[in-house]
Amino acid sequence: MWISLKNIFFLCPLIVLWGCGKAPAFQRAPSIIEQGQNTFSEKVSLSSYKLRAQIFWQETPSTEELGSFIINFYDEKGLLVDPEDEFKIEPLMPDMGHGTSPVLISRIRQGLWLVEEVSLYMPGRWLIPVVFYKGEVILGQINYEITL
Amino acid sequence: MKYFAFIFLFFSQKLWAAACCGGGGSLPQMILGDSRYQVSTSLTTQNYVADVDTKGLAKYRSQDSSDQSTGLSLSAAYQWMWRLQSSLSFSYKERQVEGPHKKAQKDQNFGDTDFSTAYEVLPEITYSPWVPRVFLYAKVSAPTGKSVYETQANEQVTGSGFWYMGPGLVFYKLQGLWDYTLALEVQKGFSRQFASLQIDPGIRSKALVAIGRSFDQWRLGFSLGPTWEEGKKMTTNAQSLKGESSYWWDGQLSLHYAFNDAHALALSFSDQTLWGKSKNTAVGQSAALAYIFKSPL
Repeated sequence: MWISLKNIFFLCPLIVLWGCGKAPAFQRAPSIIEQGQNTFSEKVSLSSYKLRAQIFWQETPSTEELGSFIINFYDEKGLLVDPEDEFKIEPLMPDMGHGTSPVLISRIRQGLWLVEEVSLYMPGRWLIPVVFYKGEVILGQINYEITL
Repeated sequence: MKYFAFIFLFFSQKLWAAACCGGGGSLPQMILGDSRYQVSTSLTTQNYVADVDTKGLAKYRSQDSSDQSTGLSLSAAYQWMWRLQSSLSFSYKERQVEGPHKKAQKDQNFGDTDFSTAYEVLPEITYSPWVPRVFLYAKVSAPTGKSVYETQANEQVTGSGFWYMGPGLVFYKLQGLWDYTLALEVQKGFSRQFASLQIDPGIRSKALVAIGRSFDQWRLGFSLGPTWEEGKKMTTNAQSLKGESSYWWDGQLSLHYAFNDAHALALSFSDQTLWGKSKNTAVGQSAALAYIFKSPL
């Protein structure tokens, strides 16, 4: 046999020793709750134009309550404009490998959009991608991150 | 001492279930003695107390929040012939989540279901002070529970959401009043589409060492083992993201009492905060009370 059965039980003390490592009870995170940026700004280049998107949290999300934010779109001159293309927002929890329920997007006025019912229901790092589409084709995206 | 084989390998059940997103799983129940079938039922209560981030740092939850689940599980193992047996295990869970700003929400769902078939590749035919009995098994886990991909309400999450399949090995040795176990298991998860998300769960594996000491009809046991889950690959229309891997340790203290050849009770306490390094998961403590019945061959 490729490994002696007599030796297989030597794995046991190794596993036990490994199990005496840094347990969660002794590896506590600082008590300050790490939040993502409350505001966020990033440029995105789309097919024939460039946009700057800015996010302001209206109601900061928590694991217990829905959040909402306003997203402003500016052109290169700094004027509020609506994107010429459709955009979607689908928050994801990349470390855990899952998403969340759909958000509700509504236009307030030119260049100002309200994103509601943002359910970030688990603690950890969340990614909020704003993806621009022309039909099925993805033109570009910005990624906003927040840690709860 | 004569009840050893009957009650041992009962650290399984759903005590191993961990991870905030319904991951984990459990070792299959196995018949070690001379019985045709073995049925067990257990009542488990589990409380998550901390969330461990991707750096391995634990954020303990506040006093006024709780995430508690109570589960009833039923397992049955059947010995088809000498050396060959199968087992089936399913559970029903109630989970309650509450926080400082969230009213207690409670829900009930089935957990995931496990089916396994084991073959005793190395039976104990002649006496040896060190050669263990070795079981090779294949296990399939069916996503009968509700997963985090199907609901955003934590209290409704009771399953992983994926089919898993893979082999496992159990080494078991009885030496006088002491018994020793080493178990190793690897499972491959199969990708699934959830609305606009395609998720590939990758591989998960676990190991466990256990030691037990018999005192007449009593047995005191301790087991320790890590569980590791590969980071999930998530593909949307726009991008493909690879998640972080998760791992955690379970330490379990158990006390068994065998009334006779057919009936036994097991009480166990499990803790995931005191052993080894954890990463990207929720950890907690659990307690279980199990009743085990076996029929003679």
